Amino acid sequence: MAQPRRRRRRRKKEEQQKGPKFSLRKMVDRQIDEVLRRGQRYDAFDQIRQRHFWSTFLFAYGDGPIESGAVDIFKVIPGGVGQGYPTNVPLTLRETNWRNVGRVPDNQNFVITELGCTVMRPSAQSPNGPDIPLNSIFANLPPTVQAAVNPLLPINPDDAARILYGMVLEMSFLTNNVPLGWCSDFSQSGGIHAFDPQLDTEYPGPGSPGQPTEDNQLGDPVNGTPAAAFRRKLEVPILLQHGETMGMRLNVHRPITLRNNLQGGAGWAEVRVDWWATESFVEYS
Amino acid sequence: MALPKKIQESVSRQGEELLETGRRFNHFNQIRQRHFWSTHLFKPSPTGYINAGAFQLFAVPTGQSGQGFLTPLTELETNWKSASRVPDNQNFEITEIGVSLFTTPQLPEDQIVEGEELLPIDHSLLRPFDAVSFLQGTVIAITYLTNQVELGLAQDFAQASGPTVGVYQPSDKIVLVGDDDENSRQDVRYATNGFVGPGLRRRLKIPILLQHGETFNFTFVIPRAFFVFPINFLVPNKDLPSTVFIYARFDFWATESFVEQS
Repeated sequence: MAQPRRRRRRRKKEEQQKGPKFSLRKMVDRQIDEVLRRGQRYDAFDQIRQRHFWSTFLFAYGDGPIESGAVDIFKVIPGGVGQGYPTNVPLTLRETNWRNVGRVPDNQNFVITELGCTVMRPSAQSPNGPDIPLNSIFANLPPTVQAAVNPLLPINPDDAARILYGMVLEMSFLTNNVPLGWCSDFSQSGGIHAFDPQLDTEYPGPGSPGQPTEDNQLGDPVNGTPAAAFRRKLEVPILLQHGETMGMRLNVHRPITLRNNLQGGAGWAEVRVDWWATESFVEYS
Repeated sequence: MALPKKIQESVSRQGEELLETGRRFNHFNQIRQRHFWSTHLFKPSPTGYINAGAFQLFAVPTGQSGQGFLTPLTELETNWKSASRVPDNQNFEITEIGVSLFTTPQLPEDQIVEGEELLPIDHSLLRPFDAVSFLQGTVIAITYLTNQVELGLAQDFAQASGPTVGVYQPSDKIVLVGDDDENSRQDVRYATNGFVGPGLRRRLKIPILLQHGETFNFTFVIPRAFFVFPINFLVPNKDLPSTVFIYARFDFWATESFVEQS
């Protein structure tokens, strides 16, 4: 009888040395318990990186002003429609890389240290030629707006100034909106520099509307001196945790009058708001 | 003659280590910093569009053709030595990235539209309008084995430096010497991506880490095709310099550890 006891003691000692037995069933049960009782699937957000996040609104104003009112951004994801773009032109990564509608995705957290605003124009397109891309923004505008837009003109610097000085950038939370500054207060981190700023004689006149001339071989204006080191760094960063409701708005308090084609205006403009953020995330299949 | 015993043992141990652990190098004992770059050549379609798509960089090493080039790449186009992966004896810590445009070097004839000679000098410029279209229409992404992460638009990542006119407001166009004809005026050439200076580029506080052997690429993602003014796009009675190519260089500044073994 002494032998089986010795065997049991030996077995128990061996198990103690090995450690507790791994049980897949127990591991799955524990995770189920965490999710159902505590609503928490992730122990920790164990990966980290930094990058830009951005979202863009298209103002296709044609001949008219940009009307007063607030428009939301970070509300339409790639593949979705809205934010001023024609209804049958889904947004692409060019317009936004934000992947959740009006909230922070569940497996990411953000610390935002920079904000920026850029006045841009949609992808240039030959107005009459063949091979117009199917997802062309210009080709899918309503005809009345299309007639007042020139997709081959750069943004007029005067129009860029009116837009940047005429819009307030706001941060939207669940129950309130916080104005952060004018769009002109938040510069871009790069972009063409050293374009020809002469306006009076250089922009196309009524002689050749819609056609390039040697007088309009100009770059587009930039917001600020375009260098990352010159952007404002938020000493108190904006913190966004996973699942939180958030968004941003461009608030136009007074209508903004802009140039028409004959006056050298393009008839449309995009405003892109971007952040530079540190992102922690967890990647699960 | 048999090798001395100690050498035999050393050789045997190295062989064993390699076969059992797959590891040849104990550690990467040399370190330096430099730029690494890769360039893509975009040629507009005959109707003047740069097509949408994902265009990988660091996929073609020197001596091979690809990335839009019909001729083998030289170290002017790239100094990356491996196709879509980190070489086995190097590791990288990337602290800056950037995109440069604006100069198409003189390319060999077989790179040019058939029937054209080597690019005349006024046809090798990049129109600022088209440069902006590229910078604002291209997303920079890093591609790993199973996913792609977009980092920003090309215009978000300035070049480190570049020729600029000596004043902030280069308001005069360049006139060819001895030629008063208005039509011969050229675009402002010295445009850059960003207000340039190495100290003004973004520093990644969380660097991008790449270890030896890892699969990766940076990618130019162009979601929407955009129009550039091709060489045959004539305005009535005017013959404009046009964008023949967009020569887009992506570079990063990295600390590189490496081991050099024969």
